[in-house]
Amino acid sequence: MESLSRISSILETARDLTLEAAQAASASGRTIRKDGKQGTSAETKKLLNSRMDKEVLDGLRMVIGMMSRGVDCSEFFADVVKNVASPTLEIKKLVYIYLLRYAESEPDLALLSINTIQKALNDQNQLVRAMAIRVMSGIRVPVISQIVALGIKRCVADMSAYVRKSAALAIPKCYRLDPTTLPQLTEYLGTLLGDRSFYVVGAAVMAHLEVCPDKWGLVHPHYRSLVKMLIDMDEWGQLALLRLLTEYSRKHFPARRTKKKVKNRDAGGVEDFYSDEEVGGNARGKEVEVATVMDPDLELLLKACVPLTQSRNSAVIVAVARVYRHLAPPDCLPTVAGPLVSLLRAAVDVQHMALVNIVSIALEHPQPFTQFATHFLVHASDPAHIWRLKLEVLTLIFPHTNIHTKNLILSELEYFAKGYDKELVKEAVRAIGRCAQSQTKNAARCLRLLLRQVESSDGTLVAESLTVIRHIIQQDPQNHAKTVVRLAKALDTATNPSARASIVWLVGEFAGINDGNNVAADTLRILAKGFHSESEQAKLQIVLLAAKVYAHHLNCAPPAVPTGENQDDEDKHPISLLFSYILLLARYDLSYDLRDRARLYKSILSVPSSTQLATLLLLAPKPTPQAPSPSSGRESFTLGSAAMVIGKDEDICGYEALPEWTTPSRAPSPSLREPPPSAASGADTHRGGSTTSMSAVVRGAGVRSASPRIGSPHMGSPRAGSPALPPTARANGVPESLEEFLASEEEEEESDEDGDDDDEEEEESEEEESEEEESEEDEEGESAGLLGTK
Amino acid sequence: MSAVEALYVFDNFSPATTPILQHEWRSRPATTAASLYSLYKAQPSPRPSLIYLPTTSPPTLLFNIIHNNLLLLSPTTSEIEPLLISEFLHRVIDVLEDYLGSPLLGSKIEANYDIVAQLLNEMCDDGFPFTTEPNALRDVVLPPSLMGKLLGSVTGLPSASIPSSFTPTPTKTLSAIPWRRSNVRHTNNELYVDLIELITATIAPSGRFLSARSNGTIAFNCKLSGIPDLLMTLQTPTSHKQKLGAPPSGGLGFPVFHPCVRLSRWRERPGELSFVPPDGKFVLASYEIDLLPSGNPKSATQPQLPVSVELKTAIGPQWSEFEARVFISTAFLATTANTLSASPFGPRSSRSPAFGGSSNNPTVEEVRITFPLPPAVKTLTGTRCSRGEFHHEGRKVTWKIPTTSAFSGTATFRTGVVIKSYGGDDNEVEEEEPVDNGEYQDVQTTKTAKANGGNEGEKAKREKQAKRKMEMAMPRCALVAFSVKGWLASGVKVDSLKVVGGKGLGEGVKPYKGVKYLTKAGDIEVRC
Repeated sequence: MESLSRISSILETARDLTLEAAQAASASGRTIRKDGKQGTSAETKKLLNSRMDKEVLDGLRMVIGMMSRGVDCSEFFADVVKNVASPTLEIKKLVYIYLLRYAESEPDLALLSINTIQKALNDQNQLVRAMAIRVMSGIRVPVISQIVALGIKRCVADMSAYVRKSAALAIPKCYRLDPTTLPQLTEYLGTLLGDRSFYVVGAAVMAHLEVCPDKWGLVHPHYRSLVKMLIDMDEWGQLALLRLLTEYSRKHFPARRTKKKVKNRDAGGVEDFYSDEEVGGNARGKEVEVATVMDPDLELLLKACVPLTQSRNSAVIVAVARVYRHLAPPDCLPTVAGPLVSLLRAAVDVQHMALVNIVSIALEHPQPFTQFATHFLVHASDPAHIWRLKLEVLTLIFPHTNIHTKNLILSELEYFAKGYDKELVKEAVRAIGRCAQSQTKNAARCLRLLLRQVESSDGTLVAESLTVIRHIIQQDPQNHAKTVVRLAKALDTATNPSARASIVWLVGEFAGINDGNNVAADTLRILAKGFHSESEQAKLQIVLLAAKVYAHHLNCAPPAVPTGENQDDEDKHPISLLFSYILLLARYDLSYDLRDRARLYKSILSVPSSTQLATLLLLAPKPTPQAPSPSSGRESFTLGSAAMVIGKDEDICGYEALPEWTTPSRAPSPSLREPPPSAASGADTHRGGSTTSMSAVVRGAGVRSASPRIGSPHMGSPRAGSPALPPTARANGVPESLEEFLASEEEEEESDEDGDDDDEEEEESEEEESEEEESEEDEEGESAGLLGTK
Repeated sequence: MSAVEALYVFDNFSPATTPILQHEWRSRPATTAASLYSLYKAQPSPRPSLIYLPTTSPPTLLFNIIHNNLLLLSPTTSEIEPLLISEFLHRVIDVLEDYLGSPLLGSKIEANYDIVAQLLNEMCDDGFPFTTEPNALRDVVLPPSLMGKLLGSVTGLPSASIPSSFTPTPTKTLSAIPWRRSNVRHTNNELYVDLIELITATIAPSGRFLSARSNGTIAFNCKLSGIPDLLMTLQTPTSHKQKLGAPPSGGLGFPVFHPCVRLSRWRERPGELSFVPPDGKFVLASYEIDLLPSGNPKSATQPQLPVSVELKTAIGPQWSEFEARVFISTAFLATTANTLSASPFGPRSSRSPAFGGSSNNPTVEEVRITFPLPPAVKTLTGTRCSRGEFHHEGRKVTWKIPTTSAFSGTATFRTGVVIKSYGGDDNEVEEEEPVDNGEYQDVQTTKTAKANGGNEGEKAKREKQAKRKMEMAMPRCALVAFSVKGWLASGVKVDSLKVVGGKGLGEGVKPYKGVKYLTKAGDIEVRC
C-alpha cells in the first residue's frame, strides 16, 4: 500500500519543497539562537531544578533535544532523575526517556529512582503502569533483575492489555539483564501466549522468539488459538507469529508424502491448472485435494494465512509467501503469487524486496508468475538493482508462457539490447541467451535476434551477443553450420576485438564439418591479409584457427610421405601454405604469447607422428557452457530473509536456515496441540463462548473479526472503570451498537470466568499427565500463571 | 535477535555529516552514525534500500530510505525481515508527518525533539515495533499544538497544578479499537474521500500498448465524532453487471486494505467496504486495475488516454534532430465523467455538492514530457516548441505544456542534437578503415571501377556510419506525465458512502461528504 505521506504529497500538488524548506530554515535559525541562549548547562540545570512544571518541562525538552542530536547529556543525570516522582505525566515521560538512555552509565543514581518507578506500577492510569514496566526493564542495571522479574509478574496479571503487552516485551529485556531469571520468565511467557487479547499475544510471540525459541512446549497448547488469532493481530504481531509458526510447522509436522500426490496431479494436468486465467477458484479446489495428505493443523495455518494476503503491510504479504513457499505444496503457490506481484506498485525499496522474493520463488516454480509478465517490463526510470531482477524474472518465466507473452518478452529484451546503457545492454543480451537456453525450441528465434545485433556499431552489444551466440551454437552444433557462415560474413564489419576473436574461434570450431568443405579455410585466407591490423586477442584466435584448419587438413588428407626438402611451394596444398604464412607472421609479432603459441602449433603439427596428439589438443569436443540465472542459489534461502537479499549467509549473524521437515516417526502427537483442559478450557469456554457468539455476529454482519467488538472487552481500562455504555441497550436485550454488544458480553464473561476456571483446574492435572509428556511442566506452570491472573 | 536497532536521520540540506536525529532502541551500536553515513555515501548511486556492510564490526545491514530531503538510516547487525524495517521506516515518516505537518523537514524535527523522541519511544520498544497506529499514538503522545497549550497554560504556579482539563485526552482511557482513538469529537462532521490512480504504461513504437495499469489508492480524511460505522460501495463502469473483484480481471486487482476494513464483507460482496474508520487522514485501500482488458495485448481494445505522444527520431538533413508531437484531447474525458456523475449518489440521496461537482469538467493539467538523453549527447541546438517551455538539465530534457481548461489540440517539440566527439571512438573508426578498405577492394575485383566504386562505397558507408552514430544519440523513449482531476482512468467510482451505524454521532447529523477523483500519470513510457 502506498504510504500516506506519498499519497498526501500527490494530493497537495504545487508544493514547493525547497521554498518551504528555506522558510523553515530561516525560522529555525531563530529558534536555534533562542536555544543557544538557553543552551548553557547551568541554565538547563536551573530549569530542571525549578519548582514550576513549565520550566522543568522546558529544561527536559532541551535535554532531550541535545540527546537526539547526539550530545552527551550525562551531566544532567541527577537533575533530571530528581523529577521522576513528578505527578505530571508529560514530565514523567521525558524523564523516562532520559533514564532509558543514561541509566547504564550511572547505575547507582539510577537505583534511587527504582523505588518511584516501582510505585508507578500501581498507578491508576494504565499508561503510567505500562511506562513504568518498560522503563524498569529498560534500565540496564543488573542488580535489579529480580525486581524487574517481580514487576513483570505483576504486570502479566494486569487488567489492561496495554500493560500486559508492555510486560511481554519486558521479558526479553529482563532476560538479557540476568539470564538466570529464565525459568520465571518462561512461566510468564506461557501465560501471555495464552492471553485472550491478540494485542498481547503478538508481543508474547516476539518475546518467545527472542528469549527461548526452542521451547516448543510453550507453543503446543496454544497452537490452534494462535492460528485463530492471526488475522486479528497487528501487523508486527502477525510477522512474529508467522515466523514462529513456519519454524514450528517444519519441526512438528511430518513431511507430506509427496510422491503419491505428484502422480495425482499429473493425471489432473498441471498445465491446465496454471494456464487458467484465474487462480482463485481452481486453487481452492486443489487445496482440498491436497489437504487429504496434509496435517489438519498445518492446513489450518495455511487457510488462516489467506486473508493476510490483503494486508497493507508488504512484510506480512511476504511472510505469507514464505509460509506457502516452505510449507505448502507447490501448486498452492498461485495464492501468493498475485499479492507478491502487487507489491510492485509500492515504493522502490518495497519493489526491490518483492522482486528478490519473486525471483527466488520463480527459480524453482516460475509458472505462477507467468500471467503477470507485463508487470515485469522494465521502465526507463527503474534503477539498476530493479531492472536486473525484472529481466531475470522475465527470462525465468519465458519457457512457460504462451506465444504472445514470448513475443512480448523477446521484443522487450531486444529493445533494451539496443539501448545506450551498457550494463543494461549486456544484461538484456544475456537474458536473451538464457531464454534460448531454457528452451531449445526458441533458440532459433533468439539466435536470429542476436545475429541482428552482431552488425551493430556498438561494441558492447556485439561482444556480448557473440558470447551468447557461441553458447547457443555450442548447445546444438549440428544445426548451426549456416549460422557460422553468417558470422564469418560479419567479420567484414565487426570491429570490436573480442567480437572478432569470438567469431574466429567459432569458425575454427566448425572447421571440421562437411569434410573440410566449409568456410573455415576461406575465412582464414581473408583474415591472413589483415593479420597485421588485428588486435592481439584476434590474432591469437587466427593462429588457433590456422592450426585447427591445418589439423583437419592433415587428418582427412594425410600428406604423402614427403619426398624431399626440395618440393616446390606450388605443389603444396593452399592450406598448408596458409598455415605456414600465418606462422611466419606470428613469429615476428610483438607479443610473446602469440610467438610462443605459434611455435607450439608449428612443432606439434610438423611431424606426422604427433598429428594425433595435435588433434586431441586442438579439436577436442568442448563442453556446453551453461549460463545460470544470476540469482541462482538464492532459492535455498528462507524466503523474506535479509540473507536472501544479500545472497550469502555466512556473515549474517542470526540467520538460520529453516529446519528440515521432521519425519513422521519423530513428529509429536497431534494431541499435544489439544488445548490443556483446565487452563485452556477455562480460557476456552471463555474464548469459545465469546468466539461462538462473536463469530455468529461476525458472520451475520460480515465483520472482519478485528472489529471493535472483539477488541473492547480486553482493551478497555477496567480500573478506570468507565464502561462507556448506556445500560438501556441491554435492557432491550438486543444490543444495538458495538459497544453495547460488547459490554453485555464483557459482563457475561466476567461472571463465567471464575467459576469455570476453578472447576476445571483439577481435571487438568490428571488428563494432562496421560496425554502430554514433554510440555507437561510448562503447561502446568502456565495454567497456574493464567489462573493467577484471574 | 531481530530488532530495529537504531534510527538516524540526516538532512541533505545541511552539510554536516552528523545526524539531525539519532535514536537508539537498544544499547549503543558499535558503528557510529557518522561512519555509517560515510559508508552509505561510498556506495554508488542509486543505492538499493538494503546495503550490506561487511567491513564494519560486526557486519551491518544498513536500511535506508530517502524522504524529501531527509535520509533515514537504520542499521541492524543480525538477520531480520528486510520489509519489516522498510515498512517501519515508512510508518515513522507517516507518523512524523501526521504530528509535525507535511512536508516533513529537518527543521521541524529539530523544533520538536521532545515529541519525536516520545513518538519513537512509543513506536518501538526494545527494537520491536510497538504502537504504530497514528490514532493510538494520539492517545499516548500529545501533538505539538496541545503540548504548546499545556506549556503556555501553566503560569507561575507551583508544580502539580496543571489543571486536569489540560491533559486533554491523555490517557486515562485507551481506545478499544486499535486504530481509532477514543472520545473523538468534531464540531463539523466531515468526510472526504480521494480516489487517486497512478497510471503506468509502456507503449511500443507501433503505438500499441504493451502494458497499461492503473494503481489506485483510496485515501480518506475522516472527521466524524464518536465511533461511526461506514459503508462504502465502489463500482467499475466496465463491469456494471459483474461484481467488483470477481474474476475475470474486470474488477479491482489484488486489493489491500487498512486493518479497519472487514475482510469477510468484502469477500462476500466485493466492492463493499465496511469499516470503522480511524480519525483523520488514512489510506483505506489500494488496488490495481489492468487497463488492457484481456491479458492478450494484441486483440485488446486500446485504452484511451487524454495525452498521446508521437516521437520521431533521427530526422532532418543530418539525422540529428528529433521531434515529438503531443495530442491532448479532453473530449472523451468529459463524456466518461458525465456518465460517472450522472448516476444517483446513494439511495439516501444525501448527495452533497462536492459529489460530481468537480468531476463534470475534467481538465488535463501538468502535462510534462521528459526525454532521457543518451550519454553521447553533448548539447541540444535549435530547440523549439510550439507551446510551453523546456528545460534541459543533465541527461534529460523536460518539456512542460501549460493547459488551460478544456484545452485540446496538438503541440510540437523539435530539437537538434550535438554529439560528443569521443577521442577514443573516433580513433577506433579511423583504425578500422584500412581493414575495411582491404576487404572491399578484395571483394570488388573489377579493376576499372575500383577507385570510383571504392569512393562511393566509402561515402555511403560513412553516411551510414554517421547516421548510426546519430541514432545512438537519440532518445529512446519519452516519459509522459500529466494529471487529470475528476476522472479516473479505470472508471472506478464511489457508488455510495453511508454512515450505517456506530455511535457518538448524534441523530440527524448529516456529515458533509466529499469525493474527489484524481488520475496521475508519471511513468507512461512511449518508446521509439
